[in-house]
Amino acid sequence: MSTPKYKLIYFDYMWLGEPIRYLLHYVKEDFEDVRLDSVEWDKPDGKIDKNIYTYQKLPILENLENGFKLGQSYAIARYLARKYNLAGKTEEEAAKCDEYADVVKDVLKRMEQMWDKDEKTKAELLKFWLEETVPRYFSVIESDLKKNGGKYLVGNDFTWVDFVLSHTAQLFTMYTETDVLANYPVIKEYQHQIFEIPQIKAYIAKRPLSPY
Amino acid sequence: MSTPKYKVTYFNYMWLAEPIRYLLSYVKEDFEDVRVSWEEWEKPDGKINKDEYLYQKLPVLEDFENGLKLGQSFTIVRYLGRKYNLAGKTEVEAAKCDEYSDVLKDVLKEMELMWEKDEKTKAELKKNWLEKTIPRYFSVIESDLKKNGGKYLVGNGVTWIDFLLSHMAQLFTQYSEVDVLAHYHYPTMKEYQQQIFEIPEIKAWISKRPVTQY
Repeated sequence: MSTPKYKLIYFDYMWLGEPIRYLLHYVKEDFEDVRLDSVEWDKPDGKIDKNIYTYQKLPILENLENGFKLGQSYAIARYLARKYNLAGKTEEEAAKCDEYADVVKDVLKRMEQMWDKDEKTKAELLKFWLEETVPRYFSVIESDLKKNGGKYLVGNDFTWVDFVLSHTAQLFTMYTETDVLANYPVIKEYQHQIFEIPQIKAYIAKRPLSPY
Repeated sequence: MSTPKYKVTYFNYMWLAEPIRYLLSYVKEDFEDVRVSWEEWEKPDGKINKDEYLYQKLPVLEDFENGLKLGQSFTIVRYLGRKYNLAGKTEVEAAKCDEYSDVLKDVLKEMELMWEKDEKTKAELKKNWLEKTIPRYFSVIESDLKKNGGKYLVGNGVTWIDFLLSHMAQLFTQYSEVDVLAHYHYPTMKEYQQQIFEIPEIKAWISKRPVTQY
């Protein structure tokens, strides 16, 4: 049994780490899937030494072949994507992957604003998010995906943004307890197909369960 | 006189578009520098047809050579960076550029939380941003920059992240009205930023660009 080429360090849930896990499973690269206890992490005097992680933030990818350590979930996904030809076939395609990923991040950042808010504020923010933020971006993505054939968001093969979009759309639904894709049938079908890719499906069946 | 290869559409501010303008100036590419009125944009029934712009958001880059229309400011800088060999010389360097830009976006997104808040909440958020968030990231960048010689953040030549970091550090200062680099002791970054703004093509752009508050 060969040594994994990568170590991925994240928390014991999906959130920002899952698209990276999907990508590595898709390209059939074994990796050390290190999952830190998020409760322990949050304790001011917890057992985890955060100083060993750049910016004291996760996820971190370690390339065990060359010792390279990289933070920031999108930078990691893009780095691996370029290595495994999942970053589009042209510079324009690569840029479109980046643009869609940035869009998804904007929507995610808006959703994160709902954390730790009182119920009334949360409800107002959720309303705005569902009625303005999500439609602003997802209507364009729905249309682009449809125009591109419905299977891949960019170009004519899988790219890293397919894993980012599929996963983050699921995250949106899980966190807000609303079917965020209800009005976007093309994205919904596409997401379903991504999760049916054999390597992805196999991973989903065996991964640790987490609320998000 | 040849036609510009690019059109950059943004508001009449530096804010998120300036790194794009810096990069195009640096590689000596003329571009249509379209500045849309913010006041008009904000009016519900204003004269600007926002539907022309992807996601009704700016900036947007149009590359006339291949017809690409691209949104998202950091994506645009990276796209141009890659086109003009300003994205690092190896995959590792390219990834480091991306990592630093994602860090800057985290800092920016946290700063944006201060908008439209009451003064008390704003003051609390600002305190946390200046005393926790900025140091968390800038202390690492200061150290990395120093270890790399102080002139370039990644590798041994200019990359797109140099324009992004130099400008964003200035943006953070302008918005917060605190000189973040001086106040929190990042002398390597401060010297580096000044040197980037002294690059002849950048200096020339700075002296001729419209003067705006942000």
